Amino acid sequence: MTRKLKILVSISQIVYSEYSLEPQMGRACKKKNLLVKRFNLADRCALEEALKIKKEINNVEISAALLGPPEMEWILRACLGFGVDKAIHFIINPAEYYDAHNIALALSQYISDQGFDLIFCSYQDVNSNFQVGPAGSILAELLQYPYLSEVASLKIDPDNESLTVKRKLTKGNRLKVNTPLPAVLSASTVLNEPRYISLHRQKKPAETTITRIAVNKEELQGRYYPAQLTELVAVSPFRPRPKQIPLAGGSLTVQERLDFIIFGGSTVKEKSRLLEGNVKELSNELLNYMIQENFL
Amino acid sequence: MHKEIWVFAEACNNSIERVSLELLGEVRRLSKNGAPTAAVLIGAGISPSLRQTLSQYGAQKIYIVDHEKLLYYQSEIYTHILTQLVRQKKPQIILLGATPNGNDMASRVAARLRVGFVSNCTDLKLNDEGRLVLWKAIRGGKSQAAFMTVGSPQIATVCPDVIGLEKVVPLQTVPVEHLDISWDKNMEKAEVIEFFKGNPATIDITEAEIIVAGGRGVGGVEKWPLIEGLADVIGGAVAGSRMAKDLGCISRDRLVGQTGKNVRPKLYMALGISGASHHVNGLKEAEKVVVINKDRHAPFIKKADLAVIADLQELLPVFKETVTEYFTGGHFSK
Ligand SMILES: Cc1cc2nc3c(=O)[nH]c(=O)nc-3n(C[C@H](O)[C@H](O)[C@H](O)COP(=O)(O)OP(=O)(O)OC[C@H]3O[C@@H](n4cnc5c(N)ncnc54)[C@H](O)[C@@H]3O)c2cc1C
Repeated sequence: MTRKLKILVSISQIVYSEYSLEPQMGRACKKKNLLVKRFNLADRCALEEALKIKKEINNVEISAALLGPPEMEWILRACLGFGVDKAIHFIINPAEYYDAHNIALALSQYISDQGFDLIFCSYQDVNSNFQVGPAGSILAELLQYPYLSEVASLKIDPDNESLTVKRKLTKGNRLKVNTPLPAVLSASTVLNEPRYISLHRQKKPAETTITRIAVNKEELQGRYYPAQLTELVAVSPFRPRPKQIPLAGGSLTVQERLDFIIFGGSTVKEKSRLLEGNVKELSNELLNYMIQENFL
Repeated sequence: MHKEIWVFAEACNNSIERVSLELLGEVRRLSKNGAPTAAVLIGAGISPSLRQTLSQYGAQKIYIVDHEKLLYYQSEIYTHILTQLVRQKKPQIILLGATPNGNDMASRVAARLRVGFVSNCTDLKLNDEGRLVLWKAIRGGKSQAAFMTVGSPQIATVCPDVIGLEKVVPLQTVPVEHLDISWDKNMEKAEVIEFFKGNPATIDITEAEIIVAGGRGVGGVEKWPLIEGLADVIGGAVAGSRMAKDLGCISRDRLVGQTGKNVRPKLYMALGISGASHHVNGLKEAEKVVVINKDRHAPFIKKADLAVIADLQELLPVFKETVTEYFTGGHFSK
């Protein structure tokens, strides 16, 4: 009989800002800003993969850990409904700023006590809330475990002692890597198609008890000074960085020139180049363009 | 004497990731106060052309760690090497591309050195005290937040394509320092088995650098090989509009737009696509857009960087031949 495989899926809650439109009597709809908290997609993929492993291999125990405020506990209830064996809620104060290092510290103690073999700890993307960070690699560093990010496919070796993954790199490239367990992984969103979480699942009371652990920032700071290694200095609406164009072109209008000075670059797209003519000439022009722009 | 600002030059398949070159340009701007810019290159059999590229994009010094075992990225070993380098040379700032490997290594190095790290930045500024103010998108990209890191060096990864490439400087010889850093055998925990090069024909369109997309104007399934043939010769991935999908030319996962996928290629070629907003919404982040359409009033023409007014049935076979000739070294008149 193979040994028991203990899997932990660490889940982060993601905060989106969205609008809701409120109908008004006799007037246009009123736009209201909402902060919506969701189950991070990469974590849903990690959970799906853990459930897949449980189905394929005997003797697997899955735990789900959530770092978030009390109102996010529905995520753990949904996980339990899907077949997760244990749920742990690390309760944080939503008003406080936690960086990736804080989060990894909070998780590392629990993980080393419980002795997990496989830990999924997601990577953040542009949709992440600032509370989430690259906690997976920091966790691996604290625990001295191997870490593989952007996992696009995964196979546990028959002895339950190691696993082989394909990592998703840039430009569609993949890297196949074998690593001994225990290991920390971060799932990529191409790993699988996660299951849908129905409203019924979200509302259903949990049959298994959820372990609650309060995370205290002061205590973390006292135990591992410095526990927090980044400072949040400002939050504002998103303003993309203007493209750098060295000089305001003479073709710009007064308004565009003003924008140029204020935003430090051109805010309008350069005019399209239009080509007409016979097909041979057009082909050569097109080829020239692609060579100039380094596409070929 | 100012401490150096480093850019980790990520190399894959004997070429430097574009984001590393963008960062060298950014560092040239940041280091106006005189801090030297150095590039760090880790790999196996590093060719002189990579060094040249780095110097042309602004590296004033290059540190190289070259070892046969370093052909592919391995978290523990690369982290160990970069940490050792930092301890020896004490740079003030290290910037990396926000690629899977860049993010992985930066966060691990920062954790080992117990210094702060901010990932996936979209903008960065140096304040009067020489500290970086790092901006990144949050809340689904609707807001942004600024962070500062604790400790030295300051480490951050920056998203590809947010800075843009600077003009290259004339080729010059820059000092290159080869460093010999050894590591413990038991650090080689994860073992790389194989590297798979992405095939543009099969990769997901969200990962493609060149996309050849067709619409109703291509002329349906019988004419679709024109698009596939062009994509094949220029190394692009095939995608299409809703009409192309409805006509059975592409599968659902190759559809670009509001109900399809958002893509961010370097080149998006739209062939026989009118440019309905539902479609164009999916390629807002494309760097260059080339449109071929026979109707000079099609909405897409105004949104293109280069618009070609021609009939696809006539242009595509000739263009494909021209590109093939160019690749096979045949005569090409400029
Ligand atoms: C709710 C909703 C969501 C939608 N989501 C999407 C989406 O995600 N993605 C999407 O693509 N569409 C979407 N659509 C559909 C979209 O509005 C357009 O109908 C669709 O994009 C048009 O496709 P097309 O440009 O290929 O076809 P057309 O609009 O028919 O354009 C064909 C073009 O080809 C040109 N042409 C014809 N023959 C030739 C030739 N021989 N040589 C050169 N050019 C030629 C024509 O001049 C014309 O400009 C959505 C629509 C709705 C209502």
